[in-house]
Amino acid sequence: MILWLFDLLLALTLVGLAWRVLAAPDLLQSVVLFIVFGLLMAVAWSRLQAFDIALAEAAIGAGLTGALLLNTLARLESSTGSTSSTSSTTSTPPAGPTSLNRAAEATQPLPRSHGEASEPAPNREDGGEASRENRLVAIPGAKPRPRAAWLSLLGLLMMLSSIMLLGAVHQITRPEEGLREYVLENMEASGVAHPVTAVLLNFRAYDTLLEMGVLLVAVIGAWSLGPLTESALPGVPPGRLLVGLVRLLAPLIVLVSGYILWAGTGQPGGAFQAGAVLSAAGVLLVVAGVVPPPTLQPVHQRVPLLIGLSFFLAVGLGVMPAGQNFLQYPPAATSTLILLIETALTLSIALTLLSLFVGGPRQAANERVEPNEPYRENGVEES
Amino acid sequence: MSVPIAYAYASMILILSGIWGALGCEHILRRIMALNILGSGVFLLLVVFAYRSPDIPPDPVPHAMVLTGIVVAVSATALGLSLARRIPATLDGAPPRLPDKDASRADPWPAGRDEEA
Repeated sequence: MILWLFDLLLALTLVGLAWRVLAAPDLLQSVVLFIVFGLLMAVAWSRLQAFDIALAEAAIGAGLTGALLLNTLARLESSTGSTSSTSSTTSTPPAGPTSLNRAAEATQPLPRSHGEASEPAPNREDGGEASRENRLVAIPGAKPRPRAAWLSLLGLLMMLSSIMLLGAVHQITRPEEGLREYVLENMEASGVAHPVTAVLLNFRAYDTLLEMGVLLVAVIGAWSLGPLTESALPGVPPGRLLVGLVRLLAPLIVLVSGYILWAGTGQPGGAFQAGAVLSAAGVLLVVAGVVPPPTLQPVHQRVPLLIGLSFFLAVGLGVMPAGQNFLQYPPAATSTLILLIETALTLSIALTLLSLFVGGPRQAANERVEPNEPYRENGVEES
Repeated sequence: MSVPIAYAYASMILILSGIWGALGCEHILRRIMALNILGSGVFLLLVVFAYRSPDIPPDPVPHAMVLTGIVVAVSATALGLSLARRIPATLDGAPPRLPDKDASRADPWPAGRDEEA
């Protein structure tokens, strides 16, 4: 009974948090609530006996995504703040971070402005700062939508989706479907003792292989956009306590990551969780300034980025001359191969996520790329 | 089946509010968060499908799919944020006054503003 109540409360809290994330007037508040949302999702996963996902969510959904969002928020504010103070010809003094934050949100999210959607918002006329912020953070150049038509279209879409979702939710009364029995019958051939790892790296290894491709494409995409021209954060240098703590924590995190990787063969854990935890160590080291952010220029930084996909692919192709199918491990070597692949995946995932956190090649603050000028070949510098 | 029914409906609401936020919110960061909420809702629905009972271990296949999905979601989020971080620079490089006079919202940088001042 108590657990049932707990589930109900947790589900309600998740919904409420999601609503506040979308509707909170302050963007910083909304990001922090999103991190809390990720943490509570991890609790929900463990209530649903999805312990692998709980681990991954705690490391990725709450930790890494939160760091990414906070980082981006700070960068956006510092760039837009610097823009408004340098290019501003009006006499408006540059606003502080909090009011910038508020100003950025002067355009209310739809759920809040539903009632007053038909009348044009009056406060957009006068806002020097506010409108400029909107301009910077909303999609630039996008044509404004006719409000009423857009809202009714969105409402129709939501109605259709809810009907389909209700249909889906009602299918959970038929629990005997699914592939669970097939997986459990073939566990002995899988080379590992944990069903989720068996599915990820053996039964459906193709998915995981392609996922590594997706990760690589994401990094290439983010790093191909040219150097980040945004100004550096108005600097509070990392305190000695933070630096000392990070120095202490980083080896410990690496150890935990190794354990999670090793444990993945027999219990919840594995390459994804280990890679996410390892990348958290990297993010901490970079944020504390102990280690310079990766530039992805030297070979020793590019190899770990590629090793997951390439080793996976090499194993998949390498078994074929022996008469096996693509990714069909030879039965004698299955366990070893899976562990080796997982190790390679862990390294790749960790460096991929760290590179995505850094966001792109740096550029010294004093040499901004001129507008409309193609990026120079060696405009990439370690900061 | 009493455990997941609350989560099933929660996932439904999460998906709906994710769609709503991704299409309706103005700020790009909030849209990205809305897409993540939408993703969380889908993951929750999949895991509810995988649930059997407190005593029977759940179906591992949806779990593996959700794990893959979480990692792909974070990389897509990071790519989106990386694009978002370039927007101010792009606007710096763009012509200072974009011709969006027909905008129903006021032009934040009207062409004649500086001359008037």
